[in-house]
Amino acid sequence: MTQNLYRLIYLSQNTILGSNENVHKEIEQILTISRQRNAASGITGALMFNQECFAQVLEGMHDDIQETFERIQCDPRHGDVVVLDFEPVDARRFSQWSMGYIGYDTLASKEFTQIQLATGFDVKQLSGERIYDLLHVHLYAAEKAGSNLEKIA
Amino acid sequence: MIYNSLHQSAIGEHKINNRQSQRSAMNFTAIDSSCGLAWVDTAGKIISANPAFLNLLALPPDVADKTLFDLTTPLNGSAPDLLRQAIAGQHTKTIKLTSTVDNKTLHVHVITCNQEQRLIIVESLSSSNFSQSVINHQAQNHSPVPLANRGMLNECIANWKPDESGAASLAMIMIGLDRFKKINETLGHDAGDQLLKFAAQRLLRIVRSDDFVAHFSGDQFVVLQINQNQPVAATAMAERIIGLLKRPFLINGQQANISASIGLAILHQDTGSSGDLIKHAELALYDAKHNARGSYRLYEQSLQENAGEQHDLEVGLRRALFLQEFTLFYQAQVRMQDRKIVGFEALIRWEKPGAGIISPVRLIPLAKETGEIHEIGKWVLHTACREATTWPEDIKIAVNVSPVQFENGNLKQIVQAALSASSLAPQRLELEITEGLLIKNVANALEQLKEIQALGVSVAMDDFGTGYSSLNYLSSFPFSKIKIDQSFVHRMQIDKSRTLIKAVITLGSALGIKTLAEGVETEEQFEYLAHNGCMEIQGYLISKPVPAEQIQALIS
Repeated sequence: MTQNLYRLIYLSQNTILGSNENVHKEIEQILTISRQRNAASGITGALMFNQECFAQVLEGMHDDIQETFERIQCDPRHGDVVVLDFEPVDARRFSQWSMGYIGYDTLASKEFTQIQLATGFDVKQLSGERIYDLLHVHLYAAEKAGSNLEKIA
Repeated sequence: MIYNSLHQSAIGEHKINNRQSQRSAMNFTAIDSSCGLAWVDTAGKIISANPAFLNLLALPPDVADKTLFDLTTPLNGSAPDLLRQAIAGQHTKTIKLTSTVDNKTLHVHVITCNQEQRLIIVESLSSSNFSQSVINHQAQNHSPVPLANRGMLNECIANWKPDESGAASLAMIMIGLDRFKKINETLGHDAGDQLLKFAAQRLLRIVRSDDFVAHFSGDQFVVLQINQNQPVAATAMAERIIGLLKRPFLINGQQANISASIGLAILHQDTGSSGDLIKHAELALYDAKHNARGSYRLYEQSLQENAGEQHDLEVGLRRALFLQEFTLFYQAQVRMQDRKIVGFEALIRWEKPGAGIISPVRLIPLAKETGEIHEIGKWVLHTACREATTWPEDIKIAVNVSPVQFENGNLKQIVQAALSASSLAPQRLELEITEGLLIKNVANALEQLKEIQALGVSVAMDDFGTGYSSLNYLSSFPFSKIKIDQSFVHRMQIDKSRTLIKAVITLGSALGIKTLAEGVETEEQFEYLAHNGCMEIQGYLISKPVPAEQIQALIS
């Protein structure tokens, strides 16, 4: 049962302090390390950031997600983690990305902010599906447009 | 014995560190033991080892700063790989090796004490009784939690010595998972074990390398901080831990959420001796759990005093029956149409010598907790029945029965015994039960109530409206009376309360059940209740609870 394909969608608050540049640097580091680790443990997914919040999708085997999530949980660079969705899925939708990234100056990130505004930042009202689709659509769109998604946006 | 020397060195000689030198501290080189002892880092680099360790594993004398795996070539087959995995992992593991020196079997215990360092203990099976040790015990029991256990924690504290500078400190952070039982119940024990394991891993990830993390008991962990700036370090760590354990866990395809409460005890800050650390941290944890779950509490002496007071009360309660410190007071219940007294509710009163009157609000929960409730309940029934026989025959006696008293399944026998000992007519006895009774094991409780009712005793539903009552209960059992809780009567100036009172009275009359309002204090309340069809009342307007001797005066 624990060797099935699962997906996890969660939100968390950014707790990185300092200038934009500093935040940027930290995120770059998060991406580098998570891409290495995810590739090693068969995790794919995407991360979105809009200055305030992180939204992340992870896809992989149950136990690998569990282990990755435990590591993420202990990262002091974010807080108030809310799991929107953790459920079995038939197939991966982010299989090309060990950790695709959508940064804060993108259209998707602005949409993310708007969704948050519309729900009054009440995470309980946010749908995992909506975040999932948002990430998915925008990663594909960006890929078509030829931008290098494995680089920080 | 082995542990004494081990921890003396590990902790006693451990100087106050600044962050840079954290990794240097523990020196085993001088420990003369038949067991091999070593500290290594997760890459297998030897930080310190005693001579037995070198002998048993056939290592060269100068191992400082060398990596264990580079040196273990004399070991057989897969041993180096197993050892490497054990050291890199976070689980306490025992590996069996065959010594290349004398072909004896070696047991190598790899113990995680913090994120960055492992304690390795090597025993030659013929050389000691070490297999009796706590660690081995833990390894053999396949504890779900990869941590040092309570025995090791005790040894660690017992052998700690303050630094000569006097600046040394020892702080115990005792962590209790809230609602852990519920996880076990709803997701299963396997999920519970996984959660404990993840919680342990989270702790290991955030502690400093010279902190000591232990699994204290079922859902309790301890982080011991050695020689840090207190209470700053302990409170900061407590906050961090609370935040961290509040974050969701993913278990068996589901999300599990818990919280943690923490008790802190710090040496030389209200805790005089290291031997009291555990007790004090537990008291502080107990206080945090009871007053504000998900928070931390620093031990202070008043907690001990409260605990002492609680203990006195417990001891006092155990002998109160024997010393005849209980009495029954009786509060009149009157019929509204003519204000005639039709019954009395028996209320227990405990006058504890030296402490005065102990409120039922404290007495009843304590009696439930200690189990005294059964004997006390029996005494109340016997006494109330006996005293009621001296009253006119048209006056009933109402006795409260706690849900706990249904647990033994012999309440009917107790009621029967009280009736026959006093020769009170069963029709004059009414038991008052609370809605709470019917939450757990409804079928069994109803079964017992029916048997009691078959004796001729009536049963009233007490405190109606305060619990989680379902209207179903009212139709599934022939209650003789619904007692409307006094909180509704007290809030009668509020529309909603009045509506509710009216609804309950209507409900009662529709089901053919009498209604009684409790806590009636004013004529105005009386008028409203009478106007709306309530049949009986009880409260200060008529009479406060009085001792048995004053009943005759009330009746006449």
